[in-house]
Amino acid sequence: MPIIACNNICKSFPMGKERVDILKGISLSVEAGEFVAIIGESGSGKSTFLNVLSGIMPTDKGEMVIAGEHLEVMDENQLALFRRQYLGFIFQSYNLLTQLSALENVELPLIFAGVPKQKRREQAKRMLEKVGLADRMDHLPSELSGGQQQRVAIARALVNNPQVILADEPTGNLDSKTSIEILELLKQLNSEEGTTFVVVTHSHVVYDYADRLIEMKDGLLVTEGKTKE
Amino acid sequence: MSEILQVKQLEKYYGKNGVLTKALDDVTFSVERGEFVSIMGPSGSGKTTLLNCIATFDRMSAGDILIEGASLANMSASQAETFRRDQLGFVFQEFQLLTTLTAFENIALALTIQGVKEPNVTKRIMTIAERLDIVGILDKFPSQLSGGQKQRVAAARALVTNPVLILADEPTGALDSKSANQLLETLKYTHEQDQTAILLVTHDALAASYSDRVIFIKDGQFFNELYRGKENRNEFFQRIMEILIVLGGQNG
Amino acid sequence: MVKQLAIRNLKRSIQDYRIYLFTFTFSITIVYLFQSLVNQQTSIALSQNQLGLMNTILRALEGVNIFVVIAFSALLAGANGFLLKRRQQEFAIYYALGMKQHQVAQLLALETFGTGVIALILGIILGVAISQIMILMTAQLFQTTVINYQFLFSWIAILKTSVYFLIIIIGIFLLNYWQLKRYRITSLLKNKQKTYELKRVLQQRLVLEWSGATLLILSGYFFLQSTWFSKYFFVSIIVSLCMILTCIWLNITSVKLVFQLLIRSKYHYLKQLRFVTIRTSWQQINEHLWSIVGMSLLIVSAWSILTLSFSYRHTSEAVIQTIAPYDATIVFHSYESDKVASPVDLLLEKGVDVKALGDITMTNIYTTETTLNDLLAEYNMANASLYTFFDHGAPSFLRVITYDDYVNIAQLLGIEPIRTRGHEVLFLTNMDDMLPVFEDYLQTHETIDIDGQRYGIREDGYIKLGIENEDFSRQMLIAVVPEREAKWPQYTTVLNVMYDQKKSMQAEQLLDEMYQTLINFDEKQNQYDTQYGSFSVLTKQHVSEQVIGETALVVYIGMYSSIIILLACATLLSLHQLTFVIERKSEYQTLLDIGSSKKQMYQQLKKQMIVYFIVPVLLAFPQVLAILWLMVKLALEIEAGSTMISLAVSTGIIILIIGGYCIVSIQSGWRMFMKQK
Repeated sequence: MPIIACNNICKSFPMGKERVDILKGISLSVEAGEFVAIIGESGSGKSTFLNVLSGIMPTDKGEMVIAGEHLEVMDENQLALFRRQYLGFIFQSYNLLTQLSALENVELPLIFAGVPKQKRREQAKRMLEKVGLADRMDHLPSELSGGQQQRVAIARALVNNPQVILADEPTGNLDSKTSIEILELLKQLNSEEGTTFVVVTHSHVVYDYADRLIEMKDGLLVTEGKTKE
Repeated sequence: MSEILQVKQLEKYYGKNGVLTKALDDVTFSVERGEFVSIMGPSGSGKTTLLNCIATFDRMSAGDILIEGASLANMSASQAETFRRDQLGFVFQEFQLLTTLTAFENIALALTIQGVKEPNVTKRIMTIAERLDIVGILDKFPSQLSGGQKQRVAAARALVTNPVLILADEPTGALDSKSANQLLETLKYTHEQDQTAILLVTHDALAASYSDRVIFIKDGQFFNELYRGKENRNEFFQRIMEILIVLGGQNG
Repeated sequence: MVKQLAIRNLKRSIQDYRIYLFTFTFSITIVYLFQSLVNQQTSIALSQNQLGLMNTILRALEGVNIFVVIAFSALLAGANGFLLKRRQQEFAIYYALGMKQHQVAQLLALETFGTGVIALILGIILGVAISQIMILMTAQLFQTTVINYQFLFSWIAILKTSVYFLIIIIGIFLLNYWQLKRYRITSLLKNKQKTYELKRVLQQRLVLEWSGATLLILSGYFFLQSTWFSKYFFVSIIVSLCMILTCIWLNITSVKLVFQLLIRSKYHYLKQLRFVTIRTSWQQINEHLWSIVGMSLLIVSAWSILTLSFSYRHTSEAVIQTIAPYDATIVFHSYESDKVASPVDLLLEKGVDVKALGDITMTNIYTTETTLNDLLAEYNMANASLYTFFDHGAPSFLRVITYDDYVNIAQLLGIEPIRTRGHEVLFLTNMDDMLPVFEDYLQTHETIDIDGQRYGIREDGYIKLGIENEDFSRQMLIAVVPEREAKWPQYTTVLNVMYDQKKSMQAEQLLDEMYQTLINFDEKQNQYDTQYGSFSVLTKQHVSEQVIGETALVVYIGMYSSIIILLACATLLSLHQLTFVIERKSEYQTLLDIGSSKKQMYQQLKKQMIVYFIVPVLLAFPQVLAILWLMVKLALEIEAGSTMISLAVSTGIIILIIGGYCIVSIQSGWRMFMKQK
């Protein structure tokens, strides 16, 4: 069974007095462990799709099933619980809390899950080691470079052992060398942990890392193609 | 004097607590009047630092930069501000337009801070707007414009003051390929028309292929230089790619 | 732990939002100060009378405190909600990471209470410090001195203040919590540039609106002019209120119009960074239009209250002189109309040697059967004040005294008595409000009929002179008849005393004792009652104290409420501006990058902030003038001359507070911007 199964997802927004259709009936399935890249021009609706995928935004129409759970019938509390258990997020602008250290940032999801302090610390430390930041655990985000901040964000996304990671332009704020490092890391985690990755991007560099490329254009999926092995 | 920009043995250090990082190490090159030069290099190579020093955003640690013969090392902060205002034009990756002003007013900014008054302001803006094909959107606000249009407005802002040197930092970074090409064509065209020198910092070989010359920087040092000569853009592009592979090779 | 997060957040917000904390603290200080006034009583020399007044003041302030609590809740909740909005993204992250609702509540509670407790402690410390100085001010106000200084520290005040503010803090927490629940997480996933929806208002429509509003106001003004509040009293009030509302509308359109016009004139607009300032200010004002209008209304209230309380004219010596021209008045009310015993002798029996106090006059007051209503009925129109003056249920009879008695009184006061012809009467009055009505009457009458007897009325008709000390009622109208011996019934004898210079202290003391006795006894018999009648006494000192006390009351309340309102507005304006700076820092950075000098930037920031602070004040000013004009016309406790001076003083205070906050905001904003580079 695919880990993600969307069926005829539709979403529109009010723009002034009219309603504009952003997603016009998207159907997609993703197998567990896949590394999928959704590409498209700005305005194609890919970010909106990501919002909808994660349950942060409700759809107007359509089904959204992740790990067997129907998101479209959940209420806010259930969605929050679901997100915490199954999903991890990586954003373009890292979205770290500037007043907390790297370690504390990674701990945050565990705090909300109620994990006891000792265990929490260990897990967070392990994650940071995995992303190669063992020596920067006590640094504040302002003391880290862009690439390092994104690594912290990745560690945070992974610390709860989610089944699916959703990433919105994860290399958008990084230069090419660092972008490649980050993508290498994501790919590594994908193969080691078996986490499913859905990456939304307009960067061509990502193409090489994805198992599958999905192009979105004007709110519809246009092409699907496997990249070279 | 035909050399508009001269960078001489430029050095820039960052450091705290006794640990010094050398961002730029003895960089020397020059740019002729009307030349279109790209600077390429991997991240951390120092190319943005180089641009910042030339733009007077940052102070150099050693060496000198001369623009039209004026030495930046010997300028005070306020002289540098004046210099930046009058001699340089900027195009940034994120456009950096003021969202509360119309496109027209954004362009006007560059002129009014120099003290230019009406009706000269409107006159000069209309001239440049025609050239960049943005006359129809002058009354719009940035939020109503596409990425490509925004960048053209930004380019107009950079050009309207007739600077001797335009500094562009990844100007195509936030654009899709169609708009990126459009912008580069525009820059190329105006540079040919006005003989404005352009210094383009990028990691995108495609953008660099529009220039006359590409300088490669690695680890803060001058690495290589390519002249386009009589090649067409595609051929130049290929050659650039070859160097990039070598440049990036050692770091994987 | 959520606790740790809360502590980090607190530390950060104290850094960034010092102004908010400052206002919070300062408002606690003010509330504490007024609560602690109770303790000041023992340290200042106050007469019995004044103590009573102090208590009245305090009770009134308690009432005001309720209003203050409400006002502050609104302010702090608003400011807090505002700050919270800025942290939308941060909270979105918490939610996206799976923070549970109760954890959010916990975090919010810790932050809110943390800030509140800090402000409370600081505020009370500051309050205790300032209250030591307050005592001097209170002494000044009551025109007395400080005796017996001790360190003022009031547990009750601390307790009350804490309770009030804990209520406020709880309210803020609840409001914020409710607000948070409404926020969406979507702000996270795309680095959305805030799209400023710039409403373009058609200039023609604006001009129409502006003209319409102005016309309405002018017509309202002319209406009021013609009726002068004497006819259609209630209608006039309603018209005034409508005018105020129209003023608001006018203000809004004026602001919009001014900006539109500024933008049109390209020549002036495109200079240096001027258009950046104009556009940005326009943007900001538009974004918060209703807050600004609300604030300008609040400023109107504060400004008016402050001015009116300063100009409350009862402090002026002239007023005291008019209502209490004599050092003391003792009134004897006979039970029967025939004179049986001399009040002077009666008093002597009671131990009060009136003659020894100084120069005295004794005046018999006769009561006719002609009511004032009979006389002035045709002038008694549907004017509320006139109505209460003339009738309040029981008819008011015209009272007369003899010409000889009048001469005695005049001589006692050292003024030249006016001669009348054999059959003429002269009126004595201390009225003020009703004077125009009375003058109307005198214009049209040359004779007057008193109980069937016709008299001529002396040319000019009346003199402003009271025949006894009165308190504020000022309803005295006496006719001086030429007869040597009047034939009407007499129930009242008035003894007026002007103290002997050397003995004035003792005299006052003696009469004060009598006064205290009389006012402290209820209906039962007191020591000054006789078989023939009873006494009442009123000295100039008493009246003076009453007047001063009343003024103190008004001034205290006025200052208290208006300063609080001003603090509220100034804080909100600051917070708005600081938030703008933070949101716009990348744009300011751009200005610097493309070549603007730091000095130009600073100037731009400064101008933008000044505009934002000034607009509500400017909007308020014409309305304040209108309200003051109205009050001067309506209530004669307030006179035009002193009002002008008070206006200057209150304007100064407004400029001080709002200007001060503006300056601090500019500094903070600049520092914030420079720090972020």
